[in-house]
Amino acid sequence: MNLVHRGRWITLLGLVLLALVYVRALAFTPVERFQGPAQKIFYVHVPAAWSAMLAMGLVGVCSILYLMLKDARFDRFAAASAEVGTAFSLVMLTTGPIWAKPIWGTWWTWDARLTLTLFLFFLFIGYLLLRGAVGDPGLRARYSAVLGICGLLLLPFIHLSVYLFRTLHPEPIVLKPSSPSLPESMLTTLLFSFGVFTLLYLGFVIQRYALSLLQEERGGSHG
Amino acid sequence: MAEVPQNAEYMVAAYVATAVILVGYAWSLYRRTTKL
Repeated sequence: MNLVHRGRWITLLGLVLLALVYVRALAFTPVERFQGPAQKIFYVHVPAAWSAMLAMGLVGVCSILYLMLKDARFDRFAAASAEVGTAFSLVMLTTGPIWAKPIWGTWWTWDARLTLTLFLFFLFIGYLLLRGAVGDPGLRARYSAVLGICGLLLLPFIHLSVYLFRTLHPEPIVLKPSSPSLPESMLTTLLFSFGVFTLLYLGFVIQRYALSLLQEERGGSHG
Repeated sequence: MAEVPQNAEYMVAAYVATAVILVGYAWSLYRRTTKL
């Protein structure tokens, strides 16, 4: 099975499992007493944020490896991960305000966590625009690697922003030093969703990487 | 005891938006890889 088909099957499996996440969240996970059904947005918002940060993390790591080893595979993977990360950031930035409206009474507020995640989205967009704007493959890989490393440096600030600044955004409930502060049924749904979003990331990134390879084989530029 | 807020429409909107974005992106990748 070639890379494109492998990616397609993983993506298809991920989308079927996403439907099961919805079923589990709607039918088998209790409604939170203070936030109501809107709290269940959390089961897609948090894993989407995780996938976006995973994507940018891998863009950064591959960028460092590219600058050290000059291996085009790292540049190709970074480009694939950046595009996939843009899709997950869009999910994060769409579902966040939809949750915020009934809970905070506003769609958006310029607090540290929200502003930094918006900045992450703009970094993804900037990365893709930069790749589209530079024609020479060597220069494009080098310039975008620098931007990718900037994205990697942003990640700890996003994660720690709820501790470092006064912010409305809830603190982490799973990725923190102490044990997760969530009832078991909610935690199971959340962890299942984390797994499904990670699988979707994998399926998307394999397909996007294969697309770049195909474009290069046909003499085009992978962008 | 306070009543549970009735705001299911926001949850539905978020779930629909998530599905549209992810299925849309999967479709875009499918189209682009099929064209080549």
